[in-house]
Amino acid sequence: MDAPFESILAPAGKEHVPPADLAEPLHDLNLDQVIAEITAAWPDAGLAAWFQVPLAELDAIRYRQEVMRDLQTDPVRISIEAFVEGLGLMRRQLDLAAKADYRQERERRFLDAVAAYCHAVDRLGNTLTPLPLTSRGLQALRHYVTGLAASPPFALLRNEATSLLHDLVAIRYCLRIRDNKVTVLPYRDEPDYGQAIEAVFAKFRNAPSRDLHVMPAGPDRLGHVDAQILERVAWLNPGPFARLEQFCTRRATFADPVILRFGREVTFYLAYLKLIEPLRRGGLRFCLPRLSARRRGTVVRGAFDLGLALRLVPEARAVVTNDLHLAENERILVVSGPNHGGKTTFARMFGQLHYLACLGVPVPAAVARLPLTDRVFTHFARPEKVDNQQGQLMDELRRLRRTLEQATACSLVILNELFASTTLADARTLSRRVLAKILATGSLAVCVTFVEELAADGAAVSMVGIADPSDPTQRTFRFERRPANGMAYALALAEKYGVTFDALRRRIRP
Amino acid sequence: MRPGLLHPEPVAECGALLHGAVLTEDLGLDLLFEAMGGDDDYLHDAARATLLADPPAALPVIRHRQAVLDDCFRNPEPVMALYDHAVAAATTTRRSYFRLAGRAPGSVLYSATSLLEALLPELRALRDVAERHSGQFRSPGFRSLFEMLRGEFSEDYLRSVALHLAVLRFQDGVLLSAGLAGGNASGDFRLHEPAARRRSWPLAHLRHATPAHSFRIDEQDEAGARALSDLQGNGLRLAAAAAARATEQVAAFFDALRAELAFYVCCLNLRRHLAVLGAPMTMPAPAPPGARALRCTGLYDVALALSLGRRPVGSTVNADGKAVVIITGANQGGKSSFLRAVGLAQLMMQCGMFVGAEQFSSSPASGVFTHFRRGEDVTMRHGMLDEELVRLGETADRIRPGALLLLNESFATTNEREGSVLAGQVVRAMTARQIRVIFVTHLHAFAESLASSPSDDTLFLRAGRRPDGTRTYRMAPGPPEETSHAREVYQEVFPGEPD
Repeated sequence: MDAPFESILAPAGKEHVPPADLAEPLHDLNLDQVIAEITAAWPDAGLAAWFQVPLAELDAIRYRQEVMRDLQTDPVRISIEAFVEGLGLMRRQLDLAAKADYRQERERRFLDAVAAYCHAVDRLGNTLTPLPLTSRGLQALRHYVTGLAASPPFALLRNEATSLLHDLVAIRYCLRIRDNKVTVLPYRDEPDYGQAIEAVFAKFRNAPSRDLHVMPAGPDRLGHVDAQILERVAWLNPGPFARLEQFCTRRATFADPVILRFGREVTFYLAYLKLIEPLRRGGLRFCLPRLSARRRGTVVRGAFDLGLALRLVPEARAVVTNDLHLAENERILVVSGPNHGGKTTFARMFGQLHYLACLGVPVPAAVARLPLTDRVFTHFARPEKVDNQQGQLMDELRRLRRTLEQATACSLVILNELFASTTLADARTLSRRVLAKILATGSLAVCVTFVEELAADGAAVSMVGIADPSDPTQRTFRFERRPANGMAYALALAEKYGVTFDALRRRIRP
Repeated sequence: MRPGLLHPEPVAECGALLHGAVLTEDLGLDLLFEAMGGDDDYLHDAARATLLADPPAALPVIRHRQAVLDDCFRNPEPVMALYDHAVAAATTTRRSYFRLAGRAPGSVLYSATSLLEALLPELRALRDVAERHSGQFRSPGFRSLFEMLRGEFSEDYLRSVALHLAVLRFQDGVLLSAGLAGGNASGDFRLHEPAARRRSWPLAHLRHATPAHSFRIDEQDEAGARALSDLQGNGLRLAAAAAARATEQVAAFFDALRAELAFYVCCLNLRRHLAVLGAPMTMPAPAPPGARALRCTGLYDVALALSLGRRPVGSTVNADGKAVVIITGANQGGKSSFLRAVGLAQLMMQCGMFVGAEQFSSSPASGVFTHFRRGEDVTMRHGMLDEELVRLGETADRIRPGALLLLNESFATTNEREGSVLAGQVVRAMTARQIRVIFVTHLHAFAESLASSPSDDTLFLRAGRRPDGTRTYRMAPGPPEETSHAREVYQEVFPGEPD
């Protein structure tokens, strides 16, 4: 290994570039909902921050993809999940130790925290060693962990904790409870009367048993009754308790900071994989996209909107996937088709693919070859304010100007139903001008529009929502490269409701 | 641990017949339940539940019950003694707190041991009956019950249980042991005999047990008292669960014993009533299910007997192998009573009872269904045909192959031609589904249509009538006659009018 292991999220020595303002694109692409779902399931890990910072460097992205690839194999993922769980246990014991009212309670919790930590580290090293890892990140981590577990200071810590725990757990004592008086006595190996009673009533064993109330195993905080018992137990067994006190004083800081950082950062991967798991089980495919900084062609197969899928799959509803391809010189995609036919979803899906690709995570598609984008800009129609149409147009155009100032040849711009508040003719003119400017910047653009003439313009690639041949009124949510032709659908709809020319002539009496 | 008197094998689902109310009305079952239960609601319910159980008992169960019933007839006093003890135990259980005790092990243990202590004498009493009388009982049902009582509840066992129950009162406090669990709280509790401590530890050490090893929960300290009770509860959990299971099962056993004996007590009651009337009773001979057997000697309607207060005229009929029995003849000639008598006998036989006849044998049916004329006035026709057809439809939904369907003047609510067509449809459909039909009818066209295409499957009976017009109330084989002698009935009601 060249550099020592630092972070599982980026190769050693790389710094994250502080993010540009991504609140609007994330909202428009519905990725804010996806991120919220992830952070809701993993509240303590501070995951939102990482999901809001897309990477700009190809190598950093590949670093993460390698780790993802390893983690998508069950033995690796299980091993890492177990480690994260073990650290969680450690943190919980430390929390309880901080809240404890009684010294021996606090010390025991601390000891349990150390034991959990040692066990987690040991198990991580042992389980990772025989596995075939391909990622730089996990290989470096494994090297680090096995080194840590073998180091003398760690061995000392582990052995001390284990033997102390063993001594404490071996202690047994008697409690005589009469009225409100409790007496603590040494244990003298008395026979188990509970079992004797079970034997007497053994012939009744087949009766359904009543569900008896059990005090939760190990209350979080010791009550004063338990505390008073504990005090007397300590008097009866002074040795282990004295050693416990010394241990806690000497070992106040015990956890390796690099390992702790790993435990936090690896949840980025685990959380995303957990999120998409039900979708995978439902038959939807994800892949690690092939990204290129230079070639601009795009190939996507079986892609879908992640946010929508997360809503539909739990309700056992079908998720429609789409394919698309763009040649190197094709940079403007115009999407048209019937209302509520999935145009916006299609555009979102495209934006999501690019954004998620830059996080280094599997994207919602079976196959994806994408150009590396430096930024995704979105312009979705804001809800209409009837009384302020003039002002609304102004806002739209101002935002567009800002975008055009910042967009580069590596950016992606998504325009959704722009200029809806103007006349068709004006929308056509304005859209043409905006698209020309975008073309000049060299960015990739997706334009969802009802202005079908745009699709026929020279540089544009037209994709159209296709109708079900047997019932043109049914939506398929599928899109194909073809010239725009909205008229066929509209005629069928008119037929269905009896408002074609002939039908109207028959219905309306002269 | 089951009494096994009514149900030799555990019964998965034993519900009530959906058409129980219809059967009760049509066959006059309320009179029967009265005689069986007296003014005891529990016995009433037991009688109804057994007679109208769904599904009906299978052949082995019928024989099992007949044997038990035989034993009851020959040994009524020990049987009543068993029943009385079961009732006493049920009363004790109902009054105890055990059923209401929540989930705290301490209170469950206390209420379970209290109830079990109270039920031990009743168990002993049952065993006593078994010991004194088992030689006089012959049925497999009673023999296994007595064997179980003597085997499982010997005096030694009952005494050892009583000893343990006394210890479990923990009058001198509870002794537990524990280890250190999370945060060094006490965990992994085990229960020990309180006496164990005192016996094995010399007195001298007790005197040296420093007071500092004990502490008291203050009287006002509610949280502390709760914590202590929880701790103690954890230690008692195994013992409490075992005691609770035992008590549940013993109480359930007494409940079941009471319920099963109740049926036989009802039979004893009915037998007494009928004996007073001098009415014959016989243990029926169930024939194999597919055989389509049905024959009787001196069969009478038990409900009619109870309401008349005397022994009615019985009928002797052989309908073996017949799928359809058509009964025609004079009004008020006893046709309906005969129909009811058959239905009643079938029901009674199928729950293992005796029947009201000198002899009776039939194949068990998958169910007994009735379709009787509603209301006395036959001339009210409009709208009532609908009601009939709806009822018939409901019956069709529930009836299964192998059932017995009793039709009494069905489709009298319409004219003879229409009614005959309907009747033909129904009877043909039923026979196609292997359902036996006994049909009392005035629809002459229908009866004729069956008679004119003779078949071995159909039996024609006629209500007996002497030449002078008096009724014999006996059914006898005979083809349908054109008239139903309604004119004679009319003459009786309006004498002296010209013909």
